[in-house]
Amino acid sequence: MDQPDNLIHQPVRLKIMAALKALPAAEQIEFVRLRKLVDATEGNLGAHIQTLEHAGYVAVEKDFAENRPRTRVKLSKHGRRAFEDYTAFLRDLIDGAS
Amino acid sequence: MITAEQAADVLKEVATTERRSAEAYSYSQTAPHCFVWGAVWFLGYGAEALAPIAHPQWMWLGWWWLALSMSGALASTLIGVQQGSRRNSNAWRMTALFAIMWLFTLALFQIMHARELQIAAYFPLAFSAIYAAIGLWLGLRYILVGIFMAVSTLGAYYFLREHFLLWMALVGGGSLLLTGLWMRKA
Repeated sequence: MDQPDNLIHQPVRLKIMAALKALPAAEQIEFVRLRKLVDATEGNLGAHIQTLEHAGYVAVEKDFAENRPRTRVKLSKHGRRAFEDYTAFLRDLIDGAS
Repeated sequence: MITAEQAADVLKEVATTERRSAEAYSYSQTAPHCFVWGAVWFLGYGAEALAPIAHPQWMWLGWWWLALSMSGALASTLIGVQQGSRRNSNAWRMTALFAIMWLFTLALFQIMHARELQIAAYFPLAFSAIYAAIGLWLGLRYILVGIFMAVSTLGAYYFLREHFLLWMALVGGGSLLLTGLWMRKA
């Protein structure tokens, strides 16, 4: 890999992936909580999640909880691996420069 | 192509977001336990404050506390099992932790010949220490809750001795319930 994964390298998507990576495997996070962590608007976050979902990096589940619509997101195995490759690429870059 | 400096900045951003996410997750997992134990303290200390501590009532209060703490332990274990089943961890550790704490506490009371108010002050102080200690790894909110609990318990023990139990029901139990809300909103 001579370029970072551009899907992840975008600042908001980077934060989304980092926030999901910090959770135990298969654990979901609610959209509202993720928005607070990533500090993005609802529309912006929704669009970036859709991009990551199309790439197979995250899985989105929509349901109802206490009669209110709820959206939950989790990192897929493919996404976890992609994120690990991405951070490894950055570390290699730093190590190579030092 | 990005530079090494940019890469370092990105990794720093990743680390910050991961830490914030892990903290928020931990708070959300702790919140239901705070609700359970806030209710246990409120009902336990409240009953103790309202019933005068004389010998016949003392027996009854002992059973009341036993029933409450067993119910609390059961509820916390079930919450732990439910949370654990989602992430496939060993929830049995929670039950084992309660058992260890119970045995340690019983042994401690026996050898120290603890009296009623000392026993009543022991649990909030023990929880304060646990909260402050886990806060060193899991987040500032635990430390703040631990400090508040310890200061309010010791303050009431030394300066509000006559109303200590009522204080623990309202301030101790109430602050645990509020902590649950605070952590859930994190």
